[in-house]
Amino acid sequence: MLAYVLRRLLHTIPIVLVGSFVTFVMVSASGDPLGDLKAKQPPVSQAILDAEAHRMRLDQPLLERYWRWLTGILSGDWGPSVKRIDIGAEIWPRLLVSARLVTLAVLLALVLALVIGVVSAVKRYSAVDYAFTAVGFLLLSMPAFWLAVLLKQQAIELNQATGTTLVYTVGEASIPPPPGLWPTVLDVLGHVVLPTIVLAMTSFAPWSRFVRSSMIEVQQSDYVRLARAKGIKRRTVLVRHALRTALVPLTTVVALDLAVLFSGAVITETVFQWRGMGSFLLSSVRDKDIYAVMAWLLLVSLIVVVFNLIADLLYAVLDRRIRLG
Amino acid sequence: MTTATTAEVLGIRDLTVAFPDEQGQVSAVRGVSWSLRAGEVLGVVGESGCGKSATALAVMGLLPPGARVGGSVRFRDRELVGLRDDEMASVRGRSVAMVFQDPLSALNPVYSVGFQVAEAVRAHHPRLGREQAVERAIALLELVGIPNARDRAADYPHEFSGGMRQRVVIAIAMADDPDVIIADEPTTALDVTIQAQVLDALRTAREQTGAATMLITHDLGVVAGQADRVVVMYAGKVVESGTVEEVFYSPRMPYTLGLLGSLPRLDGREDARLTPIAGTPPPLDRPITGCAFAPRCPLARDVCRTEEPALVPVDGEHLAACHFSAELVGRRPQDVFPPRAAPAVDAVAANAVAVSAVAANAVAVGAVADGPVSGRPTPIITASSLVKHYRVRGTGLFRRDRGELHAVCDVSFDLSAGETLGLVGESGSGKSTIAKLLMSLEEPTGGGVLLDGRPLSPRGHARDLQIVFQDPMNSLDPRMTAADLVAEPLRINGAGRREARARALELLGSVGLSGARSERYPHEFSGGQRQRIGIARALALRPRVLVLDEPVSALDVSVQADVINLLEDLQDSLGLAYLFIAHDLSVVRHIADRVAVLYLGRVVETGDRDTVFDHPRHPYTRALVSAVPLPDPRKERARERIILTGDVPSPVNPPSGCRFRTRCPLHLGRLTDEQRSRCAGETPALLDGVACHWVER
Repeated sequence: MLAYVLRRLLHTIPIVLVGSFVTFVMVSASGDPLGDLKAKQPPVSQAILDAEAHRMRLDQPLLERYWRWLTGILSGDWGPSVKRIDIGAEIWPRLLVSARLVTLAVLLALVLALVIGVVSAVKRYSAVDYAFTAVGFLLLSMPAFWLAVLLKQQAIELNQATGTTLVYTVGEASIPPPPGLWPTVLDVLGHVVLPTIVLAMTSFAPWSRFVRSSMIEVQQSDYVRLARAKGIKRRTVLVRHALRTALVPLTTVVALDLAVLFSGAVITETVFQWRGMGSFLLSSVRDKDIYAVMAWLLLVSLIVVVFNLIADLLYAVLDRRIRLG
Repeated sequence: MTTATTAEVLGIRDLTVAFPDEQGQVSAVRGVSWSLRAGEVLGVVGESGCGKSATALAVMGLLPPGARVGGSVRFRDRELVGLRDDEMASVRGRSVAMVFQDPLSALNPVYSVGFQVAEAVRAHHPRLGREQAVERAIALLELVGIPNARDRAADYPHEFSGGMRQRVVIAIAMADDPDVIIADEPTTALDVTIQAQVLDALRTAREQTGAATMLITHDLGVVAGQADRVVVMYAGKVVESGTVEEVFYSPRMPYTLGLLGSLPRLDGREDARLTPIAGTPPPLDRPITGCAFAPRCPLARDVCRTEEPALVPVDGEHLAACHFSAELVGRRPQDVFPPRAAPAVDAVAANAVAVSAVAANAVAVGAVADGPVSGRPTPIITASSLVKHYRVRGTGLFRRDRGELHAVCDVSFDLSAGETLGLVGESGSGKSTIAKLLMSLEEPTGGGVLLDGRPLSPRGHARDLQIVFQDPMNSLDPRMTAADLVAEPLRINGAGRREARARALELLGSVGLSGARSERYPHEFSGGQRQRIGIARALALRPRVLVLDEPVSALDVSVQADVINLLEDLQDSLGLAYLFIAHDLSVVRHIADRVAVLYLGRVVETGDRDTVFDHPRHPYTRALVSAVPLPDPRKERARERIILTGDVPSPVNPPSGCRFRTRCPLHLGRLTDEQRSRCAGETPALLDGVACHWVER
C-alpha cells in the first residue's frame, strides 16, 4: 500500500510539471499584463512601464519565468501580482470558503443520489422511478447559472414576503459577523444554503443515475441471490450486500467529478457574490494577472490529483479484490 | 405410492413459470410435477432453457420480479407459492437451501468467507452471538473440507480457488440444517478432479443434514453416480421420470434416448458415431401444440403434432410422456436416431472437389499414413520443446519482477494430415497457451513450431493454420452477417468481393447453413449453428490444420454431438489435421487419435487414445480418468475413484521437480522418503510416453 502511494505520488510529479508548464505558456500568451497600464491616458512614462515589466518578470525569457515561478512556490512565493496583492495571503482564505461550498455540495449530492438511486433501483419501472428519472434529466439539462439565478430570485421574494431574511442571497457570511457563536453559525448556514443546493443539483443527477444502474446490476448478481437464499430479510440483503458493493465504484466517479464541481463553484460563487476561489479566478483573468491565475489552476489541479489518489486507495479498502500494484 | 407420498418433503404440482417480455410472455416452466422424498437424491436433467433452474428458483421464491408463478409447491404441509417475501425468508436456508452454479460469483467479494457463512448461521438464529456463529461457521468450513478453516475464515472469496469457493457455498447451504438442498449445476464450472471433491462435499452435506437433494445438472454422468431417481425435462415439462436404472437402461421417451446417444463416452469401446438430435428446442414464447419434442423426433407421427402426450406410468413408477413409448422398449439410440449423413456431408463432398488441390494433397498424405511400411507419416506441424513464461510484476515501489508464470514448459508434439491430437488438462494446464503459440498469437519463450519443416511465419501460416474458438458468441462480430463473417478472411487475403461471397456461401452450405440463413446475424443462430459459422470461417482459407480450442464445451450435448460429427466428416473429406483442446475427456476420447495429458504446463502422459484412456499409467492421468463420471449408473457406482487432494498449485513458481508431486497419490502415499526426494529434485523426463519416476515400464 505504502509503495503504491509513493509510486502514485511519483507519477504525479511529471504530470503536474508538464501540465503546469503547458498552462503557464498558455496563460502567459493570453494577454499583456501591462495592457491596462499602457492604455492609460495620459500615458505613463516608459520608465514606469519598464519598472513594472521588470516587477512582473516580463523582461525574462519564458522558460526562466516558469522556473522562477515553480521554485518560488516551493519557498512560498506565488509570484508578483498586477494588482500588487500577496497572492498567497489572498488565496488561502478564499480556498477555505470554496472548499466549504464544495464539501457541503458533495455531501448533499451524495445523500440525495444514494436515496434516489436506491429507491429507483428497488422500485424499477414504477411511477416513482419514472418520476425520479424525469427530475434527474431535468436537472441534468439545466445550466447551473440559470438555476442559481432562479433560486436567488425566489429567495429574495420569499424574504420580502416574510419580512425577515431566512436565506441570504449575497456573500458567504455577513460583514461584520453577528456577535456570539450561534448567531455566527446560523449566519454562515443561512448564506450557504442556496449555493450548496445549486452546486449539488448539477452533480446529484448523474450520480443518482449511476447508483441506480449499479444497484440494479448488483441486485441481479448471484451473491445477492445467495444472500437471499440464506433466509436473510430482503431489506438487510439490500443494504448489506447490494448497496455496500454498489457504492464501491461511486468513489471513483465522485473523485473524477471534483474538477467539475470546482468549475461549477466558479459560476455559483459569482451569482451569489461569494469571495471565494471563483471571483478570484474571474478577476485575475480579467486583469490578466498571470501568477494569480496560475495559483488557482495549480491548487485546483493538485486537489483533483490528491482526491483521485484517495479514491483509488478507498477503492482498495472497500473491495479487497482490488490489488494496488 | 402411499409410502412415497408420506415421505414427500417437497411436492411440486402443475408448476408454471412465465416471464413477461416485449412480445408477450415466455413460458419457462409449463406444468411440472414431481415429489422429492426424504433423504433421496433426485436428479433433474435437461439441456439449457428446459426450465430446470426456473423450477428451482420458483421453489426458493427467488425468481426475478415480474415472473409469474402458478401451480403449487408444498414443503411438507406448507404451500410456498404465493407466500410474501418475508414469509419466504423464513423458509429459505432453514427448510430449503440452495447451491448455485458459479462459485466465482456466488460469494460477495467485499465480505470475508467466515462472515458470509456466519451470516447464514445467524439468519434463523438472530440471538446467537457473533462469536458463536463464527465458531459454527468454522466448524462448517472444516466439514466441507477447507484446510486450516480457522485461519482461512478471515480470507476473502477471491483468495479461494473455484472448488474451495463452491465448498464455502455448500457450507452456507448446510448452515441451518435444511430439509432440502437444491444444487443447481453445482460442478459445471469446475475441473473434473475438483468436481469429484465437490460432489464429495455435497455428500457430506447430505449426510450431516439428512436433507433430500434436488441435483440439477446437464451432466448425465453426475446424475448416474449421485441420484436415486431422475427427472428429465424438455421445453418446460417433465418428459420422463423414474429410478436411474429405469431411465438410463430403458428410456421410454425418445428425447432421453437421444440424449444418451448423443453423449460421447469415456468407456466407449467402438468408434460409434454419436447420434445427435436434429434441430433445437422450441421457442417458449408462443404456445406449443402437441408434443414439444415432435419436430426433432424421428418417431413423430400426426398425433404427436396435435395432441400433447401426458406423463403416464409406463412401468410402475417409471413415467414417460410419449404416445409411442411402448415402441422404445429394447431399442438403442442408433436404431431410433439415424446418424445424420445429411446435407452437411454431401455438401462437403462436393466442396472437396473445389478444394481439390489441398484435399488431394491431404489424401495423398493420408494414404501414406495408412500404408503398412511407413510408420508415422510426415508431420505438418512439429512443435519442439515449446516454452512460454509470462512475467509477473511485483507490487513494490519499483515493480521488480516477482517471478515468472510458467504457462508451458518443454512441450513437444507433432501432427499429421487427417489426424487428431487431443490436448487435455484442467485449468492452468497450458492448453490454450499452446493454441496461442501455434497461431503465433504469442511469442514462445523457448522452442518453436515448424510447419512442413520450416519455422512458422505469421503471414504464411494463416492459410495453413486456423483456429476455432470456444465461445462462438464472443468470437463472431455481432454486426456482421454469417456470409460476411466467413468471407472476411478471404477478403483480407485478397479475394474479390464476388469471389469471396461465392466461396462463403459454399462454405456455409458445407457446414449445413445454406440459403437465406447466410444473411442472418450471429444472435439469430443457435449455439451449435454459431459454432458451425466459426468452423466455416476457419475453413475459408483452406487450411490444413485446425486448432480447436474447446470447440464444443459451450454447447448442449445434443448439439455438441452434431458439431463433433461435422468435424469428423470434414476431417474425412478434407484430410484436415486437428489439434483438439478440451477439458472434457469423453469428447477427446471420442474424437482424438492420439492424446497428450497436460499438468501445469508439462506433458505428463501421451500416447494413442485407447492406451491412455484404458491403461493410464501416470498417477495424474489415472486420477483424471477415474474422476470422469460415466453416464451408466451401475458402472459408475462400481468404480473405484481416485480423489486428488487440494487444488492445482499456482503456475507462478510451480513445485520443483515433478510438478504433480504436491497432489500425487503415489508421492503422498507409498513412496519412501528417499524416493520422494527424487520427485522433488528431478523433473521426470517424458520417457515412453509417461513422465513419472516410479511408473512401471
